[in-house]
Amino acid sequence: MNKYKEADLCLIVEGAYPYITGGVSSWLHNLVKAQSHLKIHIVALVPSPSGLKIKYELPENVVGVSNIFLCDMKQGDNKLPAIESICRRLEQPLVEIQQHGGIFELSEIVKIFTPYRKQLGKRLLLNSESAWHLLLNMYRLTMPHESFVNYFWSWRSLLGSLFAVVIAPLPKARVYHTISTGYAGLLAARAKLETGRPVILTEHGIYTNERRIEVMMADWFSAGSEDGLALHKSRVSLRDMWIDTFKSYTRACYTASDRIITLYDGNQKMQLRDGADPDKLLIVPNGVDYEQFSEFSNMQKAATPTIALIGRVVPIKDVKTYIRASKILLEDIPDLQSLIIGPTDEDPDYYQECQNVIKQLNCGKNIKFTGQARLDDYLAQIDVVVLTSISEAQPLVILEAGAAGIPAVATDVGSCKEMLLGRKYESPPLGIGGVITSLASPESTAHGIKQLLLNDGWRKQCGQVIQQRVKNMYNKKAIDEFYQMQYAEMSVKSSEKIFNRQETLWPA
Amino acid sequence: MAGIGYALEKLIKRDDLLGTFQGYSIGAIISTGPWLFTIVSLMGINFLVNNWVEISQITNFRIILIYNYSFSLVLTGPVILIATRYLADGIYNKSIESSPSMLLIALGITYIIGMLSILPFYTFFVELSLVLKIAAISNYFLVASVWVVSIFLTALKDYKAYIFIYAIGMGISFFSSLFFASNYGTSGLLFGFNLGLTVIVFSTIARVFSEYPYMFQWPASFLPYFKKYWELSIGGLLFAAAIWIDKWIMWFAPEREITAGVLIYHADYDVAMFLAYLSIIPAMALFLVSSETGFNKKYQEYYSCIKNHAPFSIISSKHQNMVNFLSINFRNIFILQGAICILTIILTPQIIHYFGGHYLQLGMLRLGILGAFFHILFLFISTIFMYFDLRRINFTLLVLFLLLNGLFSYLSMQSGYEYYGYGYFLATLLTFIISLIVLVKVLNKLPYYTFIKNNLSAN
Repeated sequence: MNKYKEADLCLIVEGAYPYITGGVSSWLHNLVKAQSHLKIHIVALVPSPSGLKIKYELPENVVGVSNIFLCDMKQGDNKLPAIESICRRLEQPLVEIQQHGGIFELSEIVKIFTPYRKQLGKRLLLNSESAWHLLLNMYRLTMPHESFVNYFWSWRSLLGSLFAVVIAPLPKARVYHTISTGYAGLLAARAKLETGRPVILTEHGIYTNERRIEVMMADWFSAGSEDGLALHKSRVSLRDMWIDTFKSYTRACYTASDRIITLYDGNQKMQLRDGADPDKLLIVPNGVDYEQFSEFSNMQKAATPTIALIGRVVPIKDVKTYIRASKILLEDIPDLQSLIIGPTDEDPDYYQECQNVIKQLNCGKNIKFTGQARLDDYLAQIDVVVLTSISEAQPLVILEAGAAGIPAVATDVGSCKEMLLGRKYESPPLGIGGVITSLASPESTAHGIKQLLLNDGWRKQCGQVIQQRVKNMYNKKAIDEFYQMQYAEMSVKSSEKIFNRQETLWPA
Repeated sequence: MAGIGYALEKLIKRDDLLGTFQGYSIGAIISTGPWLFTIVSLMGINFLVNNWVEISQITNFRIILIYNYSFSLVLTGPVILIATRYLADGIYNKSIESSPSMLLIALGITYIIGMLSILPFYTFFVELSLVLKIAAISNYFLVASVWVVSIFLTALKDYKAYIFIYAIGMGISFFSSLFFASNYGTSGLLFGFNLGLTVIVFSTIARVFSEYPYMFQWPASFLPYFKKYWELSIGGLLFAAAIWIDKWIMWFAPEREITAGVLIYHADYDVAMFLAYLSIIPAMALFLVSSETGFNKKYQEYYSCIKNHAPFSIISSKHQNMVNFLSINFRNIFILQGAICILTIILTPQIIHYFGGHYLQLGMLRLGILGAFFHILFLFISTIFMYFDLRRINFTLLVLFLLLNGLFSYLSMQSGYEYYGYGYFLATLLTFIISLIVLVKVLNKLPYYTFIKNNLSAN
């Protein structure tokens, strides 16, 4: 990698590219390739250094990759005379962060840490006696009745990662682009505070929402807490602390960002709810390579009616509902071919369960798992693409199939409705490009597929609509150009720091 | 020793004087029994054997025993501490299937060490008859075995058998060594003594195998324990060496005597110190009883409330309970043992007279009694550190004690006869003061140690 003073763009990524494959990672990989004229530095936030392997071939224009280990920050010095006063000054902003904080608290923390960034690390910030007293004081102040052992680990996890982000070296760049809020968002906010350079945020999934679901599902929170006694219902619980902390992180990131982009309308509502400034909001969907996929629209379809679920065989895709829907369809369309295109090795147990369902329903002749496969090999034969997921952001398969003129039947998750039926104020209004069904309902899914499969005219019309919509709205080329423009516009912006009263906040 | 603890608590909770007295005397017997029986048996032999053999022959017998007890304690120290830890972990995790096999491995290691050190020592350097050499070598291996199997005795619940085995074994030693002495002299004495040790070793092994009737299975994690808990394995060595180093140094004083070519000893100092050690029996009993009956419970309450998600206020109060209990009990032991210490110091002339010593030993004995007092208090503090698994602190204190005892004993040896004993006394006093300061500091910050300092997953 070549030496450079300042990158054109710094991408901040939490738990994805370039170490973990998936939707967001391939989106990023495409973005990096499309912006080949920019020198890009990637900051990857990952839990720990163990098992890190770069899964993508990094393009030439990536001039640097640096890691921040959230659960494994550097050890740092053993002793620092100032640590006592550091911990004392941290108490107030940290308590705020755990309740209803934002950029102001973050800037306080950054200010406290900055002179000592070299010396600070795990030993001082998590394991010193001063840190222990800080933890105890915060515990006593906020939730003295909560299970201490749970609070202890929560505190270390939440704030340990925060500290790791604040003491990490920050690469210099003209523009910072973070791909989520959370800790990546914190680093972006820190970049804004320290450099004054513009920050762009693109949220695929809504971070606070995903964390909230995780926290709600984690059963260890209830251990030992006395919430069963309704008397204390109003008391703040550890669950609240986790969610509120993530909300504070998000708030700080929203305040620091110059643009807050998401993929579709539903997400934007959540961003507004979490406190994003409406003036900064933008919807920029994911795009697909229209030219590449549209070639398939002219190909001759196979004689047997064919449907396909394209995706990994994992519970969130609800493959079982797809299998049951296929079984229902066999009553009317006995020669139906039903494909499941995607890797089966990610959750072997679930794959086995799916196999068992097929065996029970006795429809093994018509349903086929292809395993990991190139979409191109199958696109020509598919009549309808089916999506039964219980959660999605903006599934690209609908767009890829759509570009090839193939309509889709999809559950009402993420932006599926927007893609198939059009956004509220679509101009010109294009019409209906598929069927939206309810979640986990084989009947509803089968009904939707039947409408399309048994009515050639309707299917063709839907195919044309979705194809046109992809061309207009979801064309990768146009979206790449959008980001290119954003970066260009931002990189010439003069550095401006986030507060007007920055002099008092940032003494030279 | 949880099983014993329960029985003791029952006795003390009866709340009548007899019950309390029984509890404390059992404490004394359990903590000091094996040691006491051994000393009583040896003293008995010494008293009566004059009728059958010459003085020089008894000296050889006594010196060989001193050498074997001292060096076996040092050389098995690492094995003993590591095996104790392994056994304790096994009992805690309720997986004791490999414990009897571990006993065999521990004995095996002990024998290999003995064969590499003691076997060549007696074979090539010591000037004794072949028969006596064989008796001495087998005595070493038996004594070393006793140290190792004793760990299992304390883990066993049946303390009656524990005392019984020792009483019988040492009784046999007493009678058989006197019996054989008349015909076979020193080697008869030693072989006779070995007979009793053999009974102790094999009855204990038999008890262990009947208590844990598991087939042999390789205790895979046992050997790695030596590295994982290196503070324990080296600490075991240091602990035993620290007990003996003042005697070893005194073996270089001008009054030393040499028997069998290379076996050096310092009759005045050695005897004075062994007598002094007898004075600490009451303290050992008190400590055992208070730790088994009250402290264990407080200790467990503290850890289980953390595990059971108590808020910090409760953790803090359990912590306070434990600290209060410790300081009250430590103070009691200090006062009681202090009184006993003063009493024995007043009585030193009578003691010396009774045991046939001479008045030049008075000073040594007095300093020895004071030293033993602080030594045992330091031992208790060290045990408390082990309770909280503060291995590093304990290790450092052991190193300190070893160095101080070595250095001061050397200085007092250099200063002349009237200063003998000051080294041991000053070393124990200083080590006690320092370890007490450390203990108070650590105990007050115990939650910090529990959650962070001593918590592997936090570091």
